Parts: sequence; C-alpha cells; structure tokens
Amino acid sequence: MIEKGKVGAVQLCMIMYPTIIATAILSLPAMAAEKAGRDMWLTPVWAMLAGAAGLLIAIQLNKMYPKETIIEYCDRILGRVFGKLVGFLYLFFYIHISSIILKEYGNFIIGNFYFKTPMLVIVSSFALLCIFTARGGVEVVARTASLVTPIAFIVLVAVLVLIIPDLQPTNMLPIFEHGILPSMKGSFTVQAWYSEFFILSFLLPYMHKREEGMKAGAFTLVAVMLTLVFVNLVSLMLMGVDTKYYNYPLIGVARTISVAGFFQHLESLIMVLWVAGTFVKLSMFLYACTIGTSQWIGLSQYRIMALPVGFLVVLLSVWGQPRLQELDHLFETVIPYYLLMMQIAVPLLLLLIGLMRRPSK
Amino acid sequence: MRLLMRLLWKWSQTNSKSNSRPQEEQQSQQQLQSQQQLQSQDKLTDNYVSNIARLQTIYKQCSDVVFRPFQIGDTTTASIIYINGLANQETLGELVLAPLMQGKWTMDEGLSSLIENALPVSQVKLLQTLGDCVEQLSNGNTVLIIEGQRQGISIAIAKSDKRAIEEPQAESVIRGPREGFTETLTVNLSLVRRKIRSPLLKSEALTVGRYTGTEVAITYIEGLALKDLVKDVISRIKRIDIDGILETSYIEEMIGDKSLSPFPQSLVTERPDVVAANLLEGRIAIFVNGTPFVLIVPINFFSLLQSPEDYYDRFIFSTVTRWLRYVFLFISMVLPSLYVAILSYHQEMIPGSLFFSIAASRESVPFPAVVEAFIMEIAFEALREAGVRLPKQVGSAVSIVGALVIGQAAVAAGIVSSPMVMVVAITGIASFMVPHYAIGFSLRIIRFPIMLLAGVIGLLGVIMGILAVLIHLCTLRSFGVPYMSPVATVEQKDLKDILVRAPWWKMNTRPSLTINNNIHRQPSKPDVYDKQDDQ
Repeated sequence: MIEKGKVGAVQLCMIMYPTIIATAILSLPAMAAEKAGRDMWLTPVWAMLAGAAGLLIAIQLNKMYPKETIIEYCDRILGRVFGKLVGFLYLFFYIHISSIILKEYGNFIIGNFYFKTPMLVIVSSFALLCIFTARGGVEVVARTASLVTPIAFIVLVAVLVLIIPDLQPTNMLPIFEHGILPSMKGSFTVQAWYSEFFILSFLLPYMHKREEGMKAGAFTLVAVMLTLVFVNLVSLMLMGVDTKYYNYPLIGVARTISVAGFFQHLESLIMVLWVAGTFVKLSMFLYACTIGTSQWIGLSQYRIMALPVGFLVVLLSVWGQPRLQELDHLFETVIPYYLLMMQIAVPLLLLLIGLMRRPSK
Repeated sequence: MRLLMRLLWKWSQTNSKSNSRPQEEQQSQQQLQSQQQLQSQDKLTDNYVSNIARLQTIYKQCSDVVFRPFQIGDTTTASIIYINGLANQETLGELVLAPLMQGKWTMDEGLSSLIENALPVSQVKLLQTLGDCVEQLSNGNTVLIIEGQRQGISIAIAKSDKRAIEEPQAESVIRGPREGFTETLTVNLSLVRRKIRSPLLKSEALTVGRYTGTEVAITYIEGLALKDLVKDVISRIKRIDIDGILETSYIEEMIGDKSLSPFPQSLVTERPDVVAANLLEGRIAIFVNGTPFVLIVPINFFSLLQSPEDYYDRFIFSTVTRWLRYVFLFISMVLPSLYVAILSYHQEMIPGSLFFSIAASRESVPFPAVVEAFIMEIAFEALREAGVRLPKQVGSAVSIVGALVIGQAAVAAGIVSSPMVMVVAITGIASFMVPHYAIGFSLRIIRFPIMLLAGVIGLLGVIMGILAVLIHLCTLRSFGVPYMSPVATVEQKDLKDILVRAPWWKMNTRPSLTINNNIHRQPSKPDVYDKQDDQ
C-alpha cells in the first residue's frame, strides 16, 4: 500500500461533510427552487437515497477488497485490460469534477468579490493550497479538515441563526401545491451532490477501524441532509420562490443580516465559509486524483503526482467551462446523469460482477 | 577572450582551493582522533616517571593543570594532579595530602588497603588508562599516581561554583513553585528528583561534543514513556557529531523533525515543575550541562500554549484564561492583516459611524494601509528587540522614546493613523500573551507574509494565508506525534486538557499519544472516560 496514513471515524465525518455541502449550499437552493418551487426544502430528503446508495455501494465494495481503492479493485473485478480502462475513466472523471469544483470557486469569488482579478490567479493560488494538502497524504487531508470544518460549520450556523428575525414562515405555504412530484423532480439535481459520497472508497481502505465507516458515513449523510434542508428553508422563508433568480441565494441571505446595527454586510463571512468548505472538498478530490493516478500507473509513492495532477485540474478548469452560464447549463443538463452514472451506476455494476465472480473462486 | 580565460583560471583556482581544504581539515581531524584514541587506550604502567611524563605531555601548555609531587610515609613517591579551580584545594590538603604525608604508610599491602585506611573521602575510583585520568581530571576530580602502581586513583573532591536557585525570569507565575533550573546538570537533575521520588524516574547520561564533551541527560519515567521513543531520542542525540554543545538549542535543531519550520517542535523550560508534569505525561526531558533550559519532547502545538499556572489555579479560571489566550493567539497572527484587508477591500463591512472616524484619522496619511501597517509593525519589532538588548539603565529611555515617537508624534505628524497605532499595540500585547516565548516569536514572523497577502488580495489573502499555516502545522510532527494533535487527530479523551482545563478529579487519563498502556492518573477512581473505554 502506498498510503501509510490512517483516518479515524470522526475525521471521516469531518472530511465528508464539507465534501458534500461546500458547493451545494451556495447554488443548490436556486436550482432546487427552479424545479420544485415552494417544496424545494423537501428535495434534499428525497435525494438522500442517492447518498445512501453511494455509501452502501462503497462500503460493500470495501468489504470485498478491504485494503484497496476503486482504482485497484477495478483491476481485480474486471481483469487487467478492462480494469485499467475503467480505472482510467475514473481518473478522468475525478480530475474533471475537481476542475469543475475549482471553476465554481473561481466564478463565485470573481462574481461576488474580486471583479477585476484574473481567473487564473484566483484559481491557481487556491489550487496550490489544495495540492499541498493532497501531497501530504490522507492524514494531512484529515487533519486540516478536522480543523477547518468546525470553523466553517460555526460560520454557517451563525449565518442561519442571525437571519431568523427576517424570516417569514408563510412563504412555505401551500405545501405540496402540485402534489409530491415537483419536489421529486427537483431532487434529481440535488442527488448529484449526494452521489459524491462514493468518494468514500478512497478513504475507507485507510480507516483505523473499518467497521466504524458505515456509522460515520450514515451520520454524515443525515447531517448533510439536515444542513441542506435548513439552508433551503432559510432561502425559501426569506426570498420565497424568487430564490431561483439568484445565482447564490446564501449571499442574499448574508446581505440581509443586520444585528444591533453593527453586524451588517456579512457577505465576507460567506466567503470564509465557502473558501474553507471548498478547500476541504477540493483537497479530498485532488487527493483521490493523486493517489488514484499513482495506483493506476503503479508508482511506489504518490507525493510526486500531486503537482502534475493539480496542474491538469487548473488547466481543465480554465479551458473547460469559460462562462458561468455554461457551467449552470451543464449543471442542469449533464452533470446529474454524469455523476449518477460514474458514482452509483458503474460502481453498482462493479459490485454485482464482483459478487458473481466471488463464488467461482 | 582573455577575460574568459582569466575567469576560467580563477574558477579552477577557487575549485582546487575548495577541494584541498577539506582534505587538510580531514587530515588534521584524523591526527587529532588518532592522538585521542592513543591516549585513551594507553594503560598506566608501573613506571611512575613515564606515567607522569605522559600526562605532562598531554597537558602541555595547560597552565591551569597542577602536578604536585610528594612522599607517602617518607618512602614512596607520588603525585596528585588536579585542575586549578575545579578541584577543592582546601579539602585536598586536609583529606588527601595531610593523612598520606603524615601517616606511616607503606605500599606493601597494595592500593586497596591504602584506599580503605588512608583516604577519608567517600568517592574513590581506580583508573586503568590515561584516558580515564583525563576524563576524571576534566570532571574536576583529583588523580593520584603512586610509584610502582599500575593503577591511578581518582578522588572526587570537585568544587563547583553554583548559582543559587532562583525564580526563572521568563516563566514567572503568581501561584506555584518559585524555583528554576541553574547551569549545573547535577543540581537540575536533583530538582526533578525531589519532585518525582519514584525509582522509576530514569536518567541516561551521554556525552556530546568533540571538544566540549558536554554532559547530556535524557530523563523519563519508565512505564510511562514509550520505549521506542526513548530509544529514538537517544539514537538521534548519539548521531550528533559536533565540536561543541553550549546550549539546548544546539540539540533542539539537530534532532528536530523539520528544522526549517518556524514553529518550535520541542518545549523549552526553566521550571522543574513543568518538567515533572511533562514526565508524568510520558514525555522525555533532555538536560544539558551548562544551561538552565531543558528540552521536552515530543510536544504538540497546544503544549506551547499552556502555562504551568493553568494547573495551579482553579479550573474555571484556567479555562477562561485558556480561551482568552486562544483568541489573542489568533489576534496576534491576523489582526493587522484583517485591518488592512477590510480597510482596503471590504469597506462595506465597517459600520457607518466607525468608518467615518477611521477615514477622518486617515485623511492626512500618505501611505496605503498595508505600507502603514508594515512601518508600524517593523518599528514595534525593533523596539522590542532594542528593549531586550539594552542595559537596564537605558531601558526606560527606550520605552519613553518608543511611546512618544511611535504613538503620539507619528500620529500628530500624519505619518500613521491612530487606529493603526491601536491595532499594532493590541497585536503586540497579544503576541506576549502566549506563555512560551518561542511560539510567540513564530506567530509574529508569520504575521508579515499574511499582511502582504491582505494588502494584495484582501480577505481572501488572509484566509489563504491562514489555510497555508494550517496545512503546514498539520504536516508537522514532533518525534512522531502529529503537531496539531489532539484537536486535528480528534482524540476525544485528550480534548479535556485543550479546549478547557478539566478539574483534576476529571483528569483521569494521560494524553494518549505519548502514553502506551499506563493511561490512568487515578487508577483507583474509574470515571466516565473508563466507560467509553470498555465499549
């Protein structure tokens, strides 16, 4: 095994929580509002199914191959040629998703705070930080996450609590105006984020006690669901169905906060939250890319791969989706299917093939 | 062309020089080594004259080494050899010279009878080689060489000039013991031994330094410290090959995991109670002769933020003090950067009335906020350094000049704004709130790059600067223990001594990363933490 580090159960939660919610809390309310209208707050509940599926598949595959990541057990399940092929698909997938995360980060920072700073500066400086974390290995990712996640969580709770005086619960009514279907439809976009739970397959092999993985994962899943429901509820109660017209509804929420005439214009707090959360998320994804690439090639150590992989991610993020609108379009059309396929469907297939092959041995 | 040739020639010259020099050095070093080995292996013979002559050649041109020949019982010639100032001359005369010269001793019954009957000194040792003699002399003991004897005798009547035990200046407490270490290793070890009286307190002695031969003691409690860790520390110290060790910092830098980091990876203290407390938590203390500072390894970031007084005051008070310390730690790192960032990029965050007063005071200031901050911070650092170096009589002058120049006059002249003076002052105070000087210094250094980032990309720069520091801290290890443990590694049991200071009746478990199995402080009192264990 080229990774010698170990991760604890609490650390696993600390990594997974921002890995799911970091990008979700900002743009998700708008997307959910577009499809589900007033029932948008229910979408994370339905979409939880995808998260549960991703979690279960990752755990089951891990039970079959306890000390290997998906890149490694692909070879064992599908044979060398097909295994390498699917492994390559996963590498490409994770590098691509990382570039999209980085691009989202860049768009948000430039669109809200630094209008004149070049995208490359914003994106590459942030990527550099994440590369250093990924380079340090799973332990450094876990430790930084354990320090950063509580801060991000406190900021999020502070924003959600401080806005309470401005909320209008009547915005929620009527519930189920058009039946249960709109919220189900809306949840299809939301499940894209939940399916990222499958990245656990890069963490589970390195856990201190593997049996705690399920508990920690389930706990994170519920925490993520509750957070997303609260964020959606707050956006809905503050802005009603108009939430869908905002790019980043949470920024609107922070802008409205005014406590004691002193705490005003807390958009910068959202920036802290976003940068901290995305930092953990991108570090985790870059780590997955780095160790995945090294395992795919068969290197004896992975540290040297961090910088090249990170460089690739930065390039892809700059070239891939030049504009915010295109990125949004991508999110509405392709991304939900793309993520669902790579993180639920293909792993499920792998699991089934693995189960079928096992008795013959 | 000619120039090129000349350059080439010069280059080759310097090259050959740099090549030849190490060779010379190596040769002289080898000579020295072989000499030393020869001496240490040379046995003392029954030829008294040659023994003395050989010792005299070793101590050629050493004006402080005294050879004093005399007669034992009018028949046998003998010499005592000692180093002037290290040996106690009065006792030497009373206890060695007087009985030997006045008594009617003959050497027929051998050395042992002489030692048993004629030398009223408690610590006596027989010496076989010249090397032993040299070692004993360096320790301040007196060597007795007797005619016709194959062995020398070392007599331990060293005199030591000790400083009195005083309260350490840099680590003073309101409540708690007021004794501090001195420069003498034996005194320091005895101070710890007085606190931990169990025979399980072990101290292993090493000698480091080719010329200084400095005594280094590695102290730990058997059964609490991890065995591998003790071995690791000893092997790391044994690997040191240097001409001299004058202070603990030499060892600290030579055995640290990442010496390039601005953060100290070992704890330095002058207080015996701090050493005792750390030994009880399974850590290892490294004593060096000649300095009152003792090194403690392995540590984590949070042990640098704890004052001994945290454990002597009531726990509620200590807990609140700790929180205050954490807040000011953060302030000392980022307050100037936050001020610069918000003033330059995020003015909307400042409430209206405050913004106008800041703007009014900045009206006459010609610099951007970041330049102003740099000027003031550097001036403050200069004042601090000057305050340490200046003789005490001039110290008050500096503080008056500093207060006037940096404070009032600079504001009146319109060079800096008064809010900036406040920010710098608060930052300065905050950086001195950290109980250990070393960590306060690293935080003050880190402040400058973050300030630069704040001036360039505002709040985002500050966040990225903090993240970079965090990543660095998370990659650090001190002797295998993660630097940010137990918070970043989420050792839930250990958080009771980090986030708060739990009352002593709740502090039942020792830190889990430095302790192997013997985890309970109060074995007879199982408590809530045990129940978690059983599950």
